[in-house]
Amino acid sequence: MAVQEAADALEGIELAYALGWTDGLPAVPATEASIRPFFDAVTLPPDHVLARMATRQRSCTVEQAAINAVMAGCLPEYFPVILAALEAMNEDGYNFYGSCASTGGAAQFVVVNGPIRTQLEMNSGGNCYGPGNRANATIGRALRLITLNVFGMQPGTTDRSTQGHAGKYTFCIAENEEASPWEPWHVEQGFAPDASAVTVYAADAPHNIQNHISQSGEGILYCVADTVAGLGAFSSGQSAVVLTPEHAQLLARDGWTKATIRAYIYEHARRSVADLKRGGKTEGEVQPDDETTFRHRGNGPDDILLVVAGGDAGGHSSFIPSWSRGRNSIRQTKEVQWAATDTR
Amino acid sequence: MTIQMLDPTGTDERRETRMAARDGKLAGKRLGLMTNGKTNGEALLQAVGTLLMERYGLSSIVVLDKHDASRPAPDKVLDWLLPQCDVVVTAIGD
Repeated sequence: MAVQEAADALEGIELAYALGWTDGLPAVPATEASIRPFFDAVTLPPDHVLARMATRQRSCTVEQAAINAVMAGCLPEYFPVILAALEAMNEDGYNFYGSCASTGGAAQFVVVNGPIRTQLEMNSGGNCYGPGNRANATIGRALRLITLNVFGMQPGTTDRSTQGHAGKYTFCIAENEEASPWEPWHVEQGFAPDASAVTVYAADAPHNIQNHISQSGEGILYCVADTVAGLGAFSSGQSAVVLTPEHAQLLARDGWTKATIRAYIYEHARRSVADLKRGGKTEGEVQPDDETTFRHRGNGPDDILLVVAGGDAGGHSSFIPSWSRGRNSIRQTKEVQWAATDTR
Repeated sequence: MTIQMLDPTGTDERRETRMAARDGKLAGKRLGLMTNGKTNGEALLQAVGTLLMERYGLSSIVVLDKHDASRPAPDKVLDWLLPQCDVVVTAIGD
């Protein structure tokens, strides 16, 4: 394993900058001693290949992931979540390379479900997107450092994001299963309630869905669907909707389920072809029929990743558009299964 | 006491590749134009094809859209295209 010598940790931080090993924030110098507990935290051997980017012809081993996790500030017990996320990003449908290289500026949005959320003391409440929680912040950051360092997806050369967004530093939350009136996301996806799972989604930045006034579930959803239908991010790609507990509880009170919520959003998150042409989303002159011909966001209700997260006060939900404008990247969910200790 | 910092970068697994041989002549050659599927890719390549035809007298032009700009062209697309061409120009047009 290649090493660089530094006088101490502070000099190591500066050396990492000089060598181009950081995301712009200080990185913890990784040493043999500091990565060893990460190997102990998982059942896979250090040389196991977790992910491969065919276009770049680079692979990520458990060892390389551990080095970058240390640099991100992770604790060893976070490591099984990082491995599951990498497995998910390695699925062909996720299109890891394309999502990292594109001008679209995708981040890896990570949602953690199941008991490991509480074991790692992840934040699913107020400020779930950050700042403040070590697990949320450093798990997301580790995936970015792996993308930068192991896969070499560097801004300006192989990462051609036009603007990018702040989620490219870190973008990881846990679902607030305790505040949700419905089944957790991973159970909907077929995992056992006592299993833990990680979902990755190549994502734009969150759009606020602020609604402090509606006193009915339909009022909340009207505002959600209008945000999801916004022209700037409109496409046939997937969606993520993160409902705040206040909105979720109002919806549940009025009898809405996750299935009926998804159906409502899909039905109402639509634009006329005329609008799409006026707004530069599709080519051509507006024709008379275009005013009454509609396109929906996504392929159907199941394209909507729907979770509950956020603080117990405030009418702020969020919509996260997919990076993909079509089917180029599809969200992936994997069970957290490489932990050396019982996570159930 | 000094610290030994581990290198977090990945290994480039690419094997050495070489550019295809050039004979410097386009006259009579079969040209393939492969767009990446973005909005203006085909328009850009059609213009390139027209200029090459006018200047060098190509024997034929085949245009192909690989549809998915964010992924490499699938093998079956290349297998279809390459036997029909002596020269291929590919471009991104966004």
